[in-house]
Amino acid sequence: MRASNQARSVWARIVAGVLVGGLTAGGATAIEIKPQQVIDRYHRVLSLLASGDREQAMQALWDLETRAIDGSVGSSELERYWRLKLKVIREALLAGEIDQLIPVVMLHHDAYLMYREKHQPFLAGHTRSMAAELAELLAKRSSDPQVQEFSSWVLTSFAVYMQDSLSVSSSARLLEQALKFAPQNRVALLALAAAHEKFGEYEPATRHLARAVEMNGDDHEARLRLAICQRRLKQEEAPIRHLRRLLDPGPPDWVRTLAFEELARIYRDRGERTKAEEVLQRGMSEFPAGQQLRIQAAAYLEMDRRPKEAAAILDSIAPAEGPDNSPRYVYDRWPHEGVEAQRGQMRGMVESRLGLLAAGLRSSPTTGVGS
Amino acid sequence: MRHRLLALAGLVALAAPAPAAEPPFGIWIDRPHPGEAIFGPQEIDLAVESQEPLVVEIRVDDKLVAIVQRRPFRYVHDFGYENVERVIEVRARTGKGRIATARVTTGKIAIDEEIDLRLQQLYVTVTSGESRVLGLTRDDFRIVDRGDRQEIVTFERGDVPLTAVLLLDSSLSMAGPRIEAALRGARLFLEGMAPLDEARVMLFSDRLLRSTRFASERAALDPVLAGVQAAGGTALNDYLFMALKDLDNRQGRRVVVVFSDGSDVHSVLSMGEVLHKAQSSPALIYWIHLQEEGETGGPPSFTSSWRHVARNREEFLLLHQAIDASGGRVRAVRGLDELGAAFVEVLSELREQYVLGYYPSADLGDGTWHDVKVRVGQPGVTVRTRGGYFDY
Repeated sequence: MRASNQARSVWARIVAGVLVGGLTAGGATAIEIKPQQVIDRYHRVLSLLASGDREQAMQALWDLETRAIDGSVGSSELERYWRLKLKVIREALLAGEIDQLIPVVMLHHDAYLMYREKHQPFLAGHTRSMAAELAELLAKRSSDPQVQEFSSWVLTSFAVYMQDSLSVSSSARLLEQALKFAPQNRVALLALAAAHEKFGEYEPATRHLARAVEMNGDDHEARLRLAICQRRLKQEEAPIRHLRRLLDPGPPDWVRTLAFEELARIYRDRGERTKAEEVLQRGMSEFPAGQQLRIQAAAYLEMDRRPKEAAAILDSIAPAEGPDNSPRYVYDRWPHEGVEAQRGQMRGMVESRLGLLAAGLRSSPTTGVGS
Repeated sequence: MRHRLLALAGLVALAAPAPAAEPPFGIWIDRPHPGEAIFGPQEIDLAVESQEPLVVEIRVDDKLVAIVQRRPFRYVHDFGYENVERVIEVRARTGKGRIATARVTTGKIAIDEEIDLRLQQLYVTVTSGESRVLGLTRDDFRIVDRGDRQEIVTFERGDVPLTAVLLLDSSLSMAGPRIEAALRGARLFLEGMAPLDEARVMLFSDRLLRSTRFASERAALDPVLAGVQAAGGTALNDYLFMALKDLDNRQGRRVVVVFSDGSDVHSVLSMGEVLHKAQSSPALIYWIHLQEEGETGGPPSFTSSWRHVARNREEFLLLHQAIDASGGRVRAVRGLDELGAAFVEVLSELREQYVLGYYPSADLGDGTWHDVKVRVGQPGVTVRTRGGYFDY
């Protein structure tokens, strides 16, 4: 899982897009509308967006794309369609600032969610690729650290969605890229570490997590994940030190619960049964509803031929109440809270750039052609 | 297990009053201990304090079984295999007529511990092709325990009551028709139970969501199964361990029927840890495995933050190993419409098993593993039973 170059240069696409202005969609193609219509309608999508009517812009994009492309189009038709949209962007960019891409990227980011919800995987994949490439372009062309952060967040956001869809390696590639643009992107660090973790690559995972802990010593989740990966690398002292720091009140309950479980496991693996038992006893007293703590304690007692004590502990497990998931389930998910915060910040950056986009579109030669 | 009930050694020394000048004199029973359950040949070990020659009479249940005149004062007595309390009395008499006595009452083990602790019972399914072979007699079977052929002392078919835990996966992947079908299957299983059978239903995801008590009537279990919402992850290992453990103190034939569409993801226990429990438990494990179209039933290729692909495959294989070791099996189900039949089929199979009992010839009680093989003297048949046990 190495950092990869995005397959094609976005800038080259945009340049090429200018060149295909007179291209017609000749031959057998799934594009039902003529190239100029694509250009005009996409221009209208962006104009609606620039006017602040995001909902209408999304609807117009849906109308355009569901008519123009579907899963049956070949790669050359898709490429042609893509270039037609890029032509609109390119022309707007020629007349304006690079920052105007921010609302466009965000539009395609949100369109990705819309397509997913409406079960349009082909369109979702297409719009995600477009948004990701535009975000990379934005980061490369802008010297503003905030804009670079924005690009990093966009890639991270997609990576997290892809991780949800179990596309772990593709997601990791996006995260590597996201970290190039904003090395302090904590969510990307954790997410990338988690991707490595899922492949059993604990060395790189610990590197990313150690960096997250170094950036913020109170990042409890990063510390927990670091300790768990270190344990898997057969380290003992370092993870014990990290886990012990997480036992006392302060970190989220799920983090603390797992700290008890993992610390007990390390002690147990070292043959320190009494310490393991003490840790689990304390965990059980602090988290009476913690089922896994009890099961772990019972299993250890059973192995130690103390079956009655084991049975008594299991008897104390009550079925779960409420919708919460177990700490182990939460651990297996991406750091969604952080991602949501980043998505909120991304949206916050759109508003101030709408005027730039509007100005760019007004100056573009396609303006007024059927729009 | 005979060593499990260790208690402080009791002793009764009722030495006759002796003149102050006389040397000390007394007798104690070192073994067996009071309350200890004893079976078969066992040593009665006495401690005697006396400087004079003496004669010791040993009585078991009021019957004189031995007279010992020399040190060490020990005698091996065959107590038989009845699970009853025994009264051991000893009486020492010196040449000068001084008398000392001691008495110990042994215990008996709880009835639910008896079957698996001393008498080993094997639940055996014999098949020929897809069909079960039902007309076999005791003489058709041969049991080999740690390489030694064993005498089959009990032989039954099917009518031993069973206690079941139905462990139903209620994780998110089971949402909608799947969980509904699982509950219908579970209800069919419960309806098919005999009057002395008992079952408990546990619904789990990454947490234990619902749990009934053991009951023999479906009506007692139904309310708990209503309105189940599938959600969350899968912690199969954890709740399989819990189910096996739950059956420890039940009687007779025990079985865990797991219904799940996938393998473990979120357990705190590894399958290796559960395997140990599966091997030491008398319970059979059946996995009704709901498979996707095109799924082969082979090891999975998914990954999670808890285990990468290779580890998940190991877990899957260990789960199969645990099922095989228990004498159960995997019943693949490829469509929801097959599910009810699968539950009924498992119940029928349990009903038609042969139940063979034997007293292991080498029962060391030291926790060693006993590899057990059952063979049937007929060509072309397959025999399935648990692969052995730990002789705790």
